[in-house]
Amino acid sequence: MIKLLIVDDDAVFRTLVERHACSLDFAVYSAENGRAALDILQEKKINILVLDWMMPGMTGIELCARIRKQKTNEYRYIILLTSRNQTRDIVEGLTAGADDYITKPFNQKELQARLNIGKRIITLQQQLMSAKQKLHQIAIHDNLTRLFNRGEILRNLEEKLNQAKRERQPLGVILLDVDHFKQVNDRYGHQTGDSVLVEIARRMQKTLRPYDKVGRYGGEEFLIVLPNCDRVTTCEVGERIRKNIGGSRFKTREDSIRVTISLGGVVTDPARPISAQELLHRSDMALYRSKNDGRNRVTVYSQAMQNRKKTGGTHEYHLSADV
Amino acid sequence: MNTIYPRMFDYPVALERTGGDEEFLFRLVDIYRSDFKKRFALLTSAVENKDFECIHHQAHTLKGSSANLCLGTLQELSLRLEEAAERRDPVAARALLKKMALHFRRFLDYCHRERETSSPGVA
Repeated sequence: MIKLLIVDDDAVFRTLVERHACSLDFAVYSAENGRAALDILQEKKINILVLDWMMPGMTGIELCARIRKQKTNEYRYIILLTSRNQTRDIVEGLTAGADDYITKPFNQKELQARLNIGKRIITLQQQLMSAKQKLHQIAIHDNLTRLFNRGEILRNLEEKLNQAKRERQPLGVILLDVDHFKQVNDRYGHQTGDSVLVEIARRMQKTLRPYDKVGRYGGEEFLIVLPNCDRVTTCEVGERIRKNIGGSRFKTREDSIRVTISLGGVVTDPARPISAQELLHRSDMALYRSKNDGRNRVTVYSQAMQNRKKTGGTHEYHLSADV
Repeated sequence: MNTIYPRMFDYPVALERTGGDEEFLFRLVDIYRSDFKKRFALLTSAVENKDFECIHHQAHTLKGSSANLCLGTLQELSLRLEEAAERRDPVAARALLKKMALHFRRFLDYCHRERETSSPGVA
């Protein structure tokens, strides 16, 4: 139901407008001055306001301007009521942010018609917001798995990385790749391959905390962002995911398949901030190590890994492998 | 009613504004009466203190509510009081207040009579 607020210091007028608005199925609130109106606006999601121009303390024009300065997602339709009917007054009211005006004393039918215009505008705006919201959801999610898409998970990574820097907290990042996924596609077809990815997404989400974020990074690659996770916890989370996916077979239309994953993790050091790009590079290195060491395992990046790479060393860094 | 006191209270037009609901119109009259008394007390005090801003504001509000109820005489007196406040004329303001009190009393008496004898609008 559309909520309407009448602001006028004249009780007769408030009662009269209230009556007409109720007959049009508005939920009606009223205030006798600007201050009381602002209080109601804080508590209720008011859609339409009917403001008297001349009020003690704060005029309708001033109230109108203050409302327009407030940042809200939902538009507020403002009708200014005035006994002033000179063009310059009307222009002043509309310039201050009013959408419409009615001169006093008003005609009942005119008021109702103008309230209906407000209702129509608000309804259109609500539909527009809803469509925008749906489009936004489509824009940030992967169509197949319903996880965040690459753009959104990378945006999220930047956001959480900045937050971790501000709060001097560690941030865990895991890059995950499905082992031999091409073989699944080749053997069972792409539809089955898709259903495997959907199931992997489901199992990952089930394992993660509500504030952890996961997105589809590429074809069969996923990126997980773990706020406030140190090295041990990041490794534990990676292990849980690995076991949840590799631990039980995936049922498909034709067969049940065993799918394993390889994971590469990295954890930020609050004392040494690094870029998101560098984090991704390091988790990629750790993932590469998991693949090289036989797949189905978690490897967490360490500085030694970088040093070994430079000097060509062959040390093991993986933390798990239960194949 | 309308034929006898069209300036004081244009009942048919007022009734039209309430969508023909007589009971609701009388509710508005009651609200007006109580609001008028409150504002009249404020006006009396403001005239004594020569608070022209307050006089202007209260007169303006009374002008609006009188217009909404089709009380032509009180609307006009309120307008003149508003103008007297703009001119910062306490003598005129005092005289207008007396007239307003008189017309308000007449209006109330009239409503009272009409309510007791028959429905308003029946002249």
